[in-house]
Amino acid sequence: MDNLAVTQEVKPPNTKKGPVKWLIDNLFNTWYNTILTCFALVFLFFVFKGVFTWVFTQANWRVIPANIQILMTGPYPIEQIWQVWIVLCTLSVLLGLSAGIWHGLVFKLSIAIASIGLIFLLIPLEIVNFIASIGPTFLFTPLELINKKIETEPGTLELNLNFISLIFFKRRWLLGCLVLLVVTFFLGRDKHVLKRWVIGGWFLSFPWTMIMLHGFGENPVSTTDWGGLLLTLILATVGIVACFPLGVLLALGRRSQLPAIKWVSTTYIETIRGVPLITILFMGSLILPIFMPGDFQLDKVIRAMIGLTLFSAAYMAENVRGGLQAVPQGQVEAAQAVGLTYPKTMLFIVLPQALRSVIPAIVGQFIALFKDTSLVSIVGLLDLFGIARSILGNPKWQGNFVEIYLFVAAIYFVFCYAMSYFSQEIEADLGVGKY
Amino acid sequence: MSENENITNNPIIVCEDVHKWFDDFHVLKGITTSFKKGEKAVICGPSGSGKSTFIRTINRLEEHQRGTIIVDGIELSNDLRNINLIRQEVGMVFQQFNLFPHLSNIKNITLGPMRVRKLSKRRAEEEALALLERMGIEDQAYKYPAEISGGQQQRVAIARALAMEPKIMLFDEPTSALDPEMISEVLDVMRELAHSGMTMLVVTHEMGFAREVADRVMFFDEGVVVEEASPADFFDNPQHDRTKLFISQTLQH
Ligand SMILES: Nc1ncnc2c1ncn2[C@@H]1O[C@H](COP(=O)(O)OP(=O)(O)OP(=O)(O)O)[C@@H](O)[C@H]1O
Ligand SMILES: [Mg+2]
Repeated sequence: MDNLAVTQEVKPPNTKKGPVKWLIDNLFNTWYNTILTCFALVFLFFVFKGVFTWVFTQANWRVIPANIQILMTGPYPIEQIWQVWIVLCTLSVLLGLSAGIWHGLVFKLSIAIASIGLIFLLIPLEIVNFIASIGPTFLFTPLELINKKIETEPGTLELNLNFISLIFFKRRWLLGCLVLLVVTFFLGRDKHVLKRWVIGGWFLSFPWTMIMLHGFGENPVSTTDWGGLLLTLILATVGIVACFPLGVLLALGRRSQLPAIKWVSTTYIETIRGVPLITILFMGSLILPIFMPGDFQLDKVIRAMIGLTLFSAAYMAENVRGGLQAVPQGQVEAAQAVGLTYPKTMLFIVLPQALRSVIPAIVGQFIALFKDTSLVSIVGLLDLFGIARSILGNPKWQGNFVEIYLFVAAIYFVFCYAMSYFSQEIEADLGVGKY
Repeated sequence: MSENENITNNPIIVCEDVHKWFDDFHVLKGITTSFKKGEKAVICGPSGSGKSTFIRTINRLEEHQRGTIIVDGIELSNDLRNINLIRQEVGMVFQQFNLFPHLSNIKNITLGPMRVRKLSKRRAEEEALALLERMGIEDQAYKYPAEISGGQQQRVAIARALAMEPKIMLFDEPTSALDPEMISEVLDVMRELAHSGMTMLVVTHEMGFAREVADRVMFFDEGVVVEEASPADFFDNPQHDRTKLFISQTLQH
């Protein structure tokens, strides 16, 4: 026997691939699976048919464009809406420059944000109703028929079918932001001298946002008039940015050798985790003012921010602590042996490894926080969810709750999915599980 | 090679009646000894005898509870400044390497110089590359620890310790976690380091290395130094029964 010849002849077992093979393997491999598959197909068919008919023939999507302004910014006065846009332009510039300077993750972050902007820019809210009036076959309807329909049904004429004017006029600010983002990206490319300025800019961006939204001069916009997606984004961003360092400090505190610090951190974490967010928000909005000295009143929105931050920080702390526990003691010893002090050991050795191992949990916490902002509607703030409810309070739109809630859900989904996507990018970038 | 021309008469480490307990467990039971500048001491002894604990007290990874330890004129106390000063003068190499997995090899080495010695990044990298060359692994600089072999990792760890320009190097079983074919490449580096005049305390079971490089062999058992002698005396003419037993057992392997 020639052994070599035998080994050369051996081929991998014949494994067919392809969709048909997959179907047979996974859906029709036994008689009972075949029956189950058929039932499921029939079921799915009816569900999709129902959804499709509803979306394209029964739903009244007019409710969205009619309320889009209030959904985005709440009762924010329309004649001062430019202040919001100035803020968004500023952030676009900062983001564009950062993406140019740092590449990598920041670049991916701006891609994620720009895509959200692009979705909002291109989503044809104004023609959605027109599509609905024609039905699901609108794509195949000849142009003459559409024109005829517009002539015979004057209502549809109001709809702005002109995409160009929609984007270049009605949405010129949003377009401007995206253009700024792209332009500043190219301007900032590899301009490392700008690093310090951009970092400083980010730190100033928060007070700048608050001042700009509030406005100066005769007509300040009180925070009670901030609402809709704007308020949701402000609450979520502040909450995320503030709860992270606080959570890290609490996690380190809970593992501290000093009994006082350890006790305070542990008590804080356990207390906060023991109560629902809603009670904390109520405490902030109803009970706290009672104890406030004299006529000193903390702003309602700020109280909500503090409540959300304090709440998420406790969960963040536990996530981070989980990561800290996964870092072997040898790492600390090696760092100390090189002469690093405790803060430097934490900063350069322990935290990077700890955080890296709990990125999914941390981003999960951010996503939860983003959705939890909807609870502020219960204490009287008009965030995206609160606005949705207030629109339904209008008798004109009372019957359209499905449309409104679907739209709101879609917005939440877009942002949460962007975060989730970004977390996967971070993990890939840091080589989690590799090093 | 046991007569070393580099040894001076000034002790650089002085230990006086050092005791250490883990809770109720008495691990070091009064160690009194001193190490001269440039001296190479090999510490051996059975598992659990307190060898690691002893050398770890010298850079305060373990705190001793009685007695005094003076390193290069600085007494180890609870004063954090003293501890940090001493840690800069004492490099340590661990059995499990303990490289920082999230940093490339060169960053593992430059971290201390940049953050503690406050060198510029360029300067630190130049020094790191020179050290890696000395270790014979300059081509591994930009890989991550997980991407190189155990012997190479341990040499990066030695380079990391040397980058702080320490006066004393502590080795805690540096070759015990290595495959046989990698042990020699690490021992070669340590041998070279010994010839350069570094003060070295080495916990090891590599008796060949001890014979060749050490000025003194210390035998630990149950928290005391049972016997210490020059390698020739220690291996060929041990005084205590426990030492004899230990030597016969280790040489069998
Ligand atoms: N952190 C600790 N807490 C409690 N006991 C410990 C601790 N570290 C070491 N010990 C105990 O102290 C004793 C001495 O440990 P040490 O690590 O110094 O031994 P060793 O001589 O280095 O042994 P080996 O050859 O196995 O490394 C052992 O019995 C060990 O179980
Ligand atoms: Mg040991």
